[in-house]
Amino acid sequence: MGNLALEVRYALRERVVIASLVLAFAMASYAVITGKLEVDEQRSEISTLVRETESDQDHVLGQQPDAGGAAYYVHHVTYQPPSALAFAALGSRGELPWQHRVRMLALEGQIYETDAGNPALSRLGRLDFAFLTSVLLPLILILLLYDLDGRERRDGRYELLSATSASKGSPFFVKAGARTLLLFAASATPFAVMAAFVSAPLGPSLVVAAVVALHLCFWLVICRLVAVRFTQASSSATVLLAGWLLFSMAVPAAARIVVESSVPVPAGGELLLAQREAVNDAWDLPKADTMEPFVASHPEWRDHAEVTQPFEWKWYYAFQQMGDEFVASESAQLRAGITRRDNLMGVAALLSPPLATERWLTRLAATDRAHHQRYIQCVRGFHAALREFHYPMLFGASEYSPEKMAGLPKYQPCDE
Amino acid sequence: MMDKAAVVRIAREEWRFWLRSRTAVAAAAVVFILVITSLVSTAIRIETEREARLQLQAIAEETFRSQPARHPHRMIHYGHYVFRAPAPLATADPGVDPYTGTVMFLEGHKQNSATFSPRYTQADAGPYAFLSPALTYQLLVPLLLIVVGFACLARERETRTDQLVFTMAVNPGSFWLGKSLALAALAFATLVPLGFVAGNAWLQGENGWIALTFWLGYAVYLLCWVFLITACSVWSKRASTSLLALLACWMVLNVLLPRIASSAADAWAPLAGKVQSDLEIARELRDVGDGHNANDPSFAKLRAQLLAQYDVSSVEELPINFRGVVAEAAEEELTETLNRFADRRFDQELAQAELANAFSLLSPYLALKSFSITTASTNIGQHHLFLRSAEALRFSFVQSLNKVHAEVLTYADDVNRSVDQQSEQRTRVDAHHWRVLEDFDWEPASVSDRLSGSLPFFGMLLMWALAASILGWIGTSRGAWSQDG
Amino acid sequence: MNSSPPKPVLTAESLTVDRGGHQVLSGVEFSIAQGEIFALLGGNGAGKSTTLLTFLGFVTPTSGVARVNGQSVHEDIKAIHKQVAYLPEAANLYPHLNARENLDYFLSLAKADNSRARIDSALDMVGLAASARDRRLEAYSKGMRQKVGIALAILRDAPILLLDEPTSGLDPVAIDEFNSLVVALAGEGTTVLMVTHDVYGACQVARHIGLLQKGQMVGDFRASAGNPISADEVHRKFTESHL
Repeated sequence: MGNLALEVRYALRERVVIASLVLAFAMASYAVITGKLEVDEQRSEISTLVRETESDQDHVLGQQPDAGGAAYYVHHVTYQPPSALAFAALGSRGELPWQHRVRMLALEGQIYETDAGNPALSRLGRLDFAFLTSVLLPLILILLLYDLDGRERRDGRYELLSATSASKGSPFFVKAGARTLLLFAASATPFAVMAAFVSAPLGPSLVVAAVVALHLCFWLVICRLVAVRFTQASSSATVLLAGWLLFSMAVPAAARIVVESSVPVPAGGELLLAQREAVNDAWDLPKADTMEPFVASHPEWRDHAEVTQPFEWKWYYAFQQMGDEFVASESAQLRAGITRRDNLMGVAALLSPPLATERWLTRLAATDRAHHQRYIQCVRGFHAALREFHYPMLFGASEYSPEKMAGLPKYQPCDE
Repeated sequence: MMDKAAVVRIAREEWRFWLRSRTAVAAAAVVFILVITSLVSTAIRIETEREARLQLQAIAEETFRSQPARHPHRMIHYGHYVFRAPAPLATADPGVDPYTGTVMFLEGHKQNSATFSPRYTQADAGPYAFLSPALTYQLLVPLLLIVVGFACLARERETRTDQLVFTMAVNPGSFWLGKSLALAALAFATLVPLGFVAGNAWLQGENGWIALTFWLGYAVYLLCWVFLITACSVWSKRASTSLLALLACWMVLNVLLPRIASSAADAWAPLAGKVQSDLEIARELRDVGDGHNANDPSFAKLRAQLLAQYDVSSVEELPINFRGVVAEAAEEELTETLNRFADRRFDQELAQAELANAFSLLSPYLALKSFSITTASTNIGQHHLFLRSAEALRFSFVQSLNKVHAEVLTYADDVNRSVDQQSEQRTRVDAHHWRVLEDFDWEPASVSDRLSGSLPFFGMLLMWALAASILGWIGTSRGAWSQDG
Repeated sequence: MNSSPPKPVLTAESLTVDRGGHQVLSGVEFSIAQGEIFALLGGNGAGKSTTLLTFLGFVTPTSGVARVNGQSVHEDIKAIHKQVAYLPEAANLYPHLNARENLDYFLSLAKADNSRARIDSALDMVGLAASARDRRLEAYSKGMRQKVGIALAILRDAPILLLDEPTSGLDPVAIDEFNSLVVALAGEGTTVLMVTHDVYGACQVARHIGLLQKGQMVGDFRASAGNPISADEVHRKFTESHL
């Protein structure tokens, strides 16, 4: 331990070390601060949305004479609030929508909007803490460690150092460990400060720090293994960079290709076309063609299912729901496929510590694909609740009155 | 004064050095394999998607036109789907394609947003899961050049072989130029596969000048790196210093700055979310009449005007279907509002993109990225063009159907259509009217727009190459070469 | 000897070099005639290599001039390099090339005849074994590398030879071989400036020795006809100047 403290002090005398630490600290601060700003922005957007949606609903409801119109014209807002740790890993929140505006029509036509942020910026990616730890910190560590032995060899101190080292282990391991420790401190401090500032839960925050430390340890070991085998600084740098490329780019890219070709998902466009046909064909078919299968899967409305007019609201909503049910299996396949792909990628991430780090951090921040899927499920649940609320009035089991609309379900984010 | 023969000989000798060094050969092999893999896999993916989307487009058009006789307004809600097919050069640089929706539902009274971006069904494979050819050239090839070339001059300086070379009456400028030439030759060797891709895009119907310019942009970008590397090597006393400096440069210019640019742009000019603008639109549209309701007071003026024009006293006496006229007028007014919001959104997105682009001055990587997607027309502007074309198509078929509604159907039939089945049958118009739907052929931006749009970025790349070469040149002629005794 | 003294080929005229406030050379003066072997002796950091590098134009003197055939070195470095062959310390050539490739490369840069026959005859002359010529220099001993270096100097056909510590680290046999080569070249009219810290080696070959200490010339020894310079005398002076 005494050795380590000494090496930390030695390391702090070097300009390159100081410069790298300052860089890491600055990047980490920038990452958590802009992450926090983005999360704040999203929170305030959510509260605006909720407020404006309510006033919009009040306005619309005031004009509706019947249950059908009330169900048709009222829009609801659904959203996935950012978690306390989202500032550290924005994950899919920049690429996939975390808010959807839905109404009582067929849900399948409404749930696949994907244009969330500005694609011109999504393309560049964000500098969030997760990116910093999974991609940049290893690079900085490589820059700090690749020349540790080589420099001593060139200056002819290598043998002397190895010979005079009191400890049993290699003196370079302690040197490298000291630098790794410093880099960890420089990058984790801004995170810790921000986590305390937003009073993020302690447990997950500690896990984040542990993930960062583990990832750095992995690279420390790699750097030492390479430095021992390759005596030339330039070859060890080349090998380490190749390793960095392999782990952060080649393995994830290859894994993605393998995973996506082995788990096919239904094409979204086909699903949408099929869903529209199912909904629209109903207009031209006898009403019974819609209502019979509807009643078969929803027997509770058997006694209210008779349609006499060319247009009746209950028939309209029945075929909307039948449209959803028509593509239910494709839709379920799509969801299952996405989940399966993501699970497989989680397995593949075992081969790539940077990817594992990134995925782990987004999971802790609840910004990974699984949480996005959970949000979509939550929207589906809310939509089902809407149907449950409106159907008694639409099918005439109970009378429509504007007062009853006060009980209109309000979207609540599902517990994570 | 340059000594051409010596420059070429120095370059050849550097190549011999690389070929005899195992790490250089291994690094080059790895990068070449990655380049080829990314080229092939991206080409296959994009081609598959293009075909799938074009096929779905054809199916969507065919389905719409083959619908049976119906009330025209039903067809407006039946709607139509458009699919965004990637541009030919998307095989080289997909640009924003993975982040933008590929399918759009067009219907009356609404501008839907695109759905199903390729990202939607992808597992999270980290920030570099998409190794497109563009990205390999932008990110990895410079890394190869660094690893191979960082010591090209510093090495000779460390062993003092440079002095021996100079005593052969070779001036330092020629020496530096020879090393730069060697590295440039390596850069151009890596560009050969990209040449095939550009050539293939040309055969696929891309404009030849665009394909050539695209390739040239990458060449100039790599030249920036060549000169940056030789400059760093000239100025460094030691090879290890040169490597450290170059890797730090690469990290800052290629990995850090782009992301700083994007989060800075987002923080400076935040973009209103989609739902938020939907709500604003809804509020604004309250004042526009509901086109489904001809009795909406908003249409009183229209009614009076029409009655006066045809000199009749009630809408029933009009020779045209008042409901259709109202639908047409309402759609026009509503579309105007929707377009205003859409334009605002486009402007905001462009403003953010431009803020991020401003960082191109600081990083040749960003300059090339902007250059590349502008030339390949896979940038945000191109996506906006798609959205605008889709909107134009939407407006055109909706209004054509409204016209049919106004001119082919009688008002009396229309009003009574919900009375019984027979009346409903009378409001169905013949299926040949569905032929009003135009084909969705969505052209990339014009060649001159793309070229002029990419010109500033090309200029920035040239500036970088020039600045780096001047830096290297100063290094050779200034005292950087002179040695301690 | 009654002919007029030969024209000096290399002259140092009160050479002064400052580096970071420290005078590396101060007022160094000497001149070397054609065909003469001049050895610049001195301890570590005496300024020997700086003097050599000044004649090569790699170091610019703060004041004073280094002249080659009467022309200031810094007026036209390229013209100087055409007349000068330089053998760097430890004969640093390219370790990844073999002897022939090294020579071929440097000769082609110098625009000299780089035919294989000519290269081989030079390697014969310096006595590099034929079997070694296609092996890379990384496998060479220091003496072998030195031979390639001297072969390069010979092949340059330069009238002036600048040698930096040419014999340090060589075994006695190699030193003897090297010395006789240098003497032979001087006999053909080549002017030689060598810097070294080897007093006895210098006295064996040089007809003229300058003693450099802390950037100043502190001794000047010339051999007279038939009498070589006395190594003991130089050695005494060398140690005295260090006291």
